[in-house]
Amino acid sequence: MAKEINYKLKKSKTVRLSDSAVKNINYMVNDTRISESELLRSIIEKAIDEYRLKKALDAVKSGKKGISGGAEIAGISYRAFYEKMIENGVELDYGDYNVGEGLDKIKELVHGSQVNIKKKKKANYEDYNIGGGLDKVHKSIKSKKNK
Amino acid sequence: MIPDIKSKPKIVVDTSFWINIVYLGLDRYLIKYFKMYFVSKVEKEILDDNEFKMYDSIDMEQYSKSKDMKSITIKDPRNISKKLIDNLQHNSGELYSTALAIEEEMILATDDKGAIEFCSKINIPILTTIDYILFLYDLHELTLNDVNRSFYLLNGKIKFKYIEQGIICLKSKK
Repeated sequence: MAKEINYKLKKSKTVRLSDSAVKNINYMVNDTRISESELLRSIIEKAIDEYRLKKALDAVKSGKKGISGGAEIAGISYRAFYEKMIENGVELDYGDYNVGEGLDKIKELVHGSQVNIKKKKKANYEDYNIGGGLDKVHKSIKSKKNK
Repeated sequence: MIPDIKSKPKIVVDTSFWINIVYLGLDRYLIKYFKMYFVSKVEKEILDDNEFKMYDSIDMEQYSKSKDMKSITIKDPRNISKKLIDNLQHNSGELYSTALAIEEEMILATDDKGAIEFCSKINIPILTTIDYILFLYDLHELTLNDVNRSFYLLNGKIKFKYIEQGIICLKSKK
């Protein structure tokens, strides 16, 4: 996640931590050899990024935002957010749109534009087992989803 | 045979659509059948220019190649209606792409819900990735196996409901 880190720190916050948290922080400081404040800052920043990403993914999932809107909430680039969506199983939604509904118009535009489409032999659908091949894909996608 | 570029219908391409069709290896047909337009915001989103970028993805490379070959025209809309601003994400690729499609009476190639719903209402022709696969099948550019492969690859990226609609559309052609 590409993020600009602002080193001009302006505010300090005081927090009370549990004994185990303090022990873990000490252990991590010794283990990573970075300063305690730097470690705490990175933990807090990571948590904020995670929170923003979750909010963004939820907004896309619920249909309130698209990829751009989600990217803005998450504070990352469009591409990075689209990758996060795929990683987190958030799929693109076309809303009430019915696939294929505008195709005739587009085909008309393409054909009407005198595009020199090489005329090919008309498809002989009988040669294909249309239902069979697609059903296979249909089933394999469905079974993948159910796993 | 490459058709005359002047006679091709104009299409404005949105980021998600471009990323998806390059992933499927179907971008070359877009150049073949349409005159491609991109708004500068979409170009920025595709090229993902920032100081942390470590490598170029295939769709970034394909975009740059197409631009070098002058297959792509960059054009931004002159006006964006208030209605559009109210309905789509501000300062986004889909906002400017939709505005350009309306202004220039272009086809809008997008997988963005907001843009699809807005354009459906005002009769702007829309091409989603699944529509595009069906379109290429109709033009005999793709075989049934190619279509199956593409649908399979889109699983997890686009809701299954729409892949299923694509399958139903194909079956109805029988």
